[in-house]
Amino acid sequence: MKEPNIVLEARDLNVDFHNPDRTVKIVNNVSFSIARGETLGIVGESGCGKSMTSLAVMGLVPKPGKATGQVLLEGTDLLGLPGKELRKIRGNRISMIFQEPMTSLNPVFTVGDQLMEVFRLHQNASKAEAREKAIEALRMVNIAMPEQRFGEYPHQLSGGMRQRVMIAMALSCDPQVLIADEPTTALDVTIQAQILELMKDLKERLGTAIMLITHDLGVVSQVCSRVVILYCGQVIEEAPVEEIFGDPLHPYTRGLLRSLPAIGRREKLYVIPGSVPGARDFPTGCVFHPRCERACGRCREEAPPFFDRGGGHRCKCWLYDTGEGGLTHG
Amino acid sequence: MLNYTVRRLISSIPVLLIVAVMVFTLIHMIPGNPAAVMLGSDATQEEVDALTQKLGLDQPVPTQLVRWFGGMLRGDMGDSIYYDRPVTQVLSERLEPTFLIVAYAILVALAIGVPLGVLAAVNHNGLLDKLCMILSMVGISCPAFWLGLNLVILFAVQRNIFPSVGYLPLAEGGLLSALYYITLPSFALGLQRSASIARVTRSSMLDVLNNDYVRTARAKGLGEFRVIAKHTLKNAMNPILTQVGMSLAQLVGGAVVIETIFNIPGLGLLAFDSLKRRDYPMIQGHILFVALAYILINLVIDLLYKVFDPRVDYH
Repeated sequence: MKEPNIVLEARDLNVDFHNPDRTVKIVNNVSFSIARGETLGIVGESGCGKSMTSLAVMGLVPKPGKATGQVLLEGTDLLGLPGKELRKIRGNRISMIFQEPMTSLNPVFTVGDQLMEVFRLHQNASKAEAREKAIEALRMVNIAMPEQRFGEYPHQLSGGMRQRVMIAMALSCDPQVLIADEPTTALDVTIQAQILELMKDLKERLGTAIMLITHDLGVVSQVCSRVVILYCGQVIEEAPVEEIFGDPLHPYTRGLLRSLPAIGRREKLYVIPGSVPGARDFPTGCVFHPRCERACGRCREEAPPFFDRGGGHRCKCWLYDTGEGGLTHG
Repeated sequence: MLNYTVRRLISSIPVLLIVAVMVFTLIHMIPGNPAAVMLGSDATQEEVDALTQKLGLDQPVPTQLVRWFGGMLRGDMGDSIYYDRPVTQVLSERLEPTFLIVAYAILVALAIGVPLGVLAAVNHNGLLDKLCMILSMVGISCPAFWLGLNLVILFAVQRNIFPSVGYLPLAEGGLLSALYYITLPSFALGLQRSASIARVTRSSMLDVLNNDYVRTARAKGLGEFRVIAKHTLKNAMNPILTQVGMSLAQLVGGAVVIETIFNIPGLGLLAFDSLKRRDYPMIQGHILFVALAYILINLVIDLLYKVFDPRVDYH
C-alpha cells in the first residue's frame, strides 16, 4: 500500500561497521516514510543510531561503515546511485542541518561564500546571481542586515544566527526533504523556540518534508506530526504524535515520557534503569529487555516483531502480541 | 595589523643586539693576535700592525664594542679583508642566487610535500598513506649534499639536461636561465624539505578532515576534490605555514653546503670561502645577515596566518 505522496522512504536500512575482528550493526532494519510537507520525528537517547540513520539517508556514512537496504527519494534508490548522481541530489533535493552550528560552518570562508557555493553548484548560477540568491536566502531566515552578514565569517555570528545560516543553506535549493539532526540541542531555550518557529514557518511556505532527529520530546510535541522511536538501532515504536503522548505503548517510550520534567511537579524524576548498551553488545531477544520492568522469558530469547495497533501505530513489544502474529515487514 | 608589525620589529631589536654581541666576541675568541691569524703565516709585521689598527684591535674592548655598535647602526659592518671592500656591499652582491635558490627550493618543497601529505591523509592508513610516509621518511633522512651529488650524476653527467655547476646572474641571462642554473641545487634542497612538509600536511589534514564543516561541505553535494582542496586544505594551512617558516630558515643555512657543491656564487659559498680565508669581518656580516633573515621570515609567516584563518587576531 504505497501512498502517493510519500517523498522519502527508508526500507530495511542497515548500517554496519566492518572491523577486521567483527561487524558491528549500528542501524538494524530501520524502515520509515515521510510524506510531502510532513514532519517526522526520530527520537531516541544518545547512541541509539539516530544520527547514523540520517547520515545513511544522505549517503554520508563515515568509513568503514556501510549502509545497505533502500532509501527511496520519490522512488529513486539513493543507496544504489553512483557518487556523481548522488552529489546532484545532496544539498539540492535533500539537505541536512546539523547539531552543532558552532562547528558546522567552515571558519575560514565567509557566510556568503558558503551560501553561494550551493547556488553555483546546483543551479549553475553566475557569481552575481548566486550573491543575490544568497542574500535573499539570509533574508528568508530572518537575518537582519543580510548584505552585511554576507561578508562576515562564522565566528562573528552568534550560535542562533549560525543555525539560521545553516537552515538558509539547506533550504536554498527548495529540497523535498530536510534532515535536521538535533538542530536546537546546542542552542539557548529562547533561540531554540525561534529556530523551531522558523523551521515550521518555512516548511509551510516551501512544503518541505522534515525529518527531525532529536532526543527532546518537548521539541517533538511542538513540530512533529509523526514519531519514530529508535532504540539500539531499531525502530521500536511508530505512531502519530498525539498517540505517542496520549497512549504510548512500548515500555521504553513510556519510560522516556515519564522521565520528562513537568513544570510545577516537584517529585523525583523517573529514570529508566541502566543505560543504552554500546553497539558492540546489543542484547539478544528484545533489545530493551535488560532495562525493561515488564520483561518476561520470551523477551530474553525472541526479538518481537511489529504489532499493529491501527491508525498508523505500531510497536515492537511482546506485551501487544494478540496471538495473530506480528507484521512480517520491519 | 600595522601596529602589530611595528611592535614585532621593535621587539626583535634585543634579539639582534644579543646576536651582535655574540658575533663581536667571535673575533676575540681567536687565540693569539687575530690580525696575524687572518693574514696567514707569510704576512709581514707591518701588515699585521696595519690590520690590527684598521680593525681597532689595539683599542680597549669597551671602545671596540661601542665602535662596533656605532658602525652597525650606520649599516657599516667593516671591510672584508679578502675583498678589501665594505662587507655589506659584498653581501648584497651575493644575495641574488641565494634568494632565488631558497625561493625555488621552498616552491619545490610545497609542490611535492603538500599533495603527498594530502594524498596520505585522504587515504589514511591505506596503502598510499604508508607509501607516502615511507617516502617522506627516506626524504628526511637524505642529506641535501648527497641528494645534490646524485642529481648531478643523473641529470648533468648521465643525461646532459641541467648544468652541474655555476650560475648566470639575472642581469646577464634573465630569470629563466638563472632558474635553469639553480634547478638541481634547488631540487636537492627542496626535496629534503618536502618530506617534512608532507608529514605536517598529513597530520594537519587528518585533524581537519574530522571536522563538522567538512561533513557540511559533503552534505551540500560538493565533489570530493572541492571538499579537500577548498574546505579542508585552507583550514589545514597554518601548521604547514609554520613548517614553511622553519624550512626557509633552514634553507638559508642549507645553502652553504649546496652552493659549495654546485659552485654558485651566493651567500652560502661566500660564507664557506670566508671561513677558509679567515675573513672574519665577512663571517660576522654573514651571521648577522642570517639572523636578520630569520627574524624577518618569522614575522612574515606570523602575518600570513591571518590570510588563511580570519579568526587570527593580532593583539
